[in-house]
Amino acid sequence: MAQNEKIQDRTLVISRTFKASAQAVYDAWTKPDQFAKWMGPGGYTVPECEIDLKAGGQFRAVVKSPEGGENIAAGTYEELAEPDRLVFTFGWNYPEGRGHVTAITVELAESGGETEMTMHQALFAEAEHRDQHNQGWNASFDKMEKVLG
Amino acid sequence: MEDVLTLRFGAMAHPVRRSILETLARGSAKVGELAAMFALTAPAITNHLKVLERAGLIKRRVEAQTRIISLCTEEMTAAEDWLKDVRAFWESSFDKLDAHLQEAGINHERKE
Repeated sequence: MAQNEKIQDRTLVISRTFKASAQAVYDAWTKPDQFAKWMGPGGYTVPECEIDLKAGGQFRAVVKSPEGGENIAAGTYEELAEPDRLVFTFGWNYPEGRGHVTAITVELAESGGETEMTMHQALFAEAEHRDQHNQGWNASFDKMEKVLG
Repeated sequence: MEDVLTLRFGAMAHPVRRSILETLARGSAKVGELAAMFALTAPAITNHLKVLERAGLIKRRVEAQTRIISLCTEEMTAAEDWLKDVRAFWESSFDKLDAHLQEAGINHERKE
């Protein structure tokens, strides 16, 4: 736990605008075949993805690095308001155990054929983890843009 | 009706609620600030705060019509004391086990 780091340095907010409907972006987050197409930075793949889409339901995605290393992203859905917002917990399962768990809220606002997506993630154990996830998500959202396009 | 420790540890068994407690450890906060941190709706943050309040871990006061949430440090100490007691019990048990193994001439290593 990073006692000295500011709370705001351990929270992440990313905004992106996609040329797609809110429903399409919502589906990209919640349909396993679509989620698998964009999760992880360039070169990463998702060979396995399971989503139990209901409040209290869980998701699990195996994220494979270009070097072949596998990590598992998993969490629980807390709130599903299709197609405007979803809230879920998020953490990585490592061989030595489950890592620190954060909460993610994705808000989708459609207007004029575009959808503004705002993702909040809190509270990271350390600012450094926040920075790593900031890079990881942004690279993943570049892929999401292609999937939606 | 649940006992105090079940309520306290149960309340802490959620990442959002642990994060709320960690945030409040830095100082009291407005309900809106906590909701904004996770982009949670008013009902969702209210539910989390209710669980924490029922467990006696937080308290709320109203200042100029704004609800301010703060940590109940003395209640947190009770949970901490319990953990310390359990740790002390096992530490002393392991000390006895060490002595026993040494007496029996069994080589062993204890990792802290």
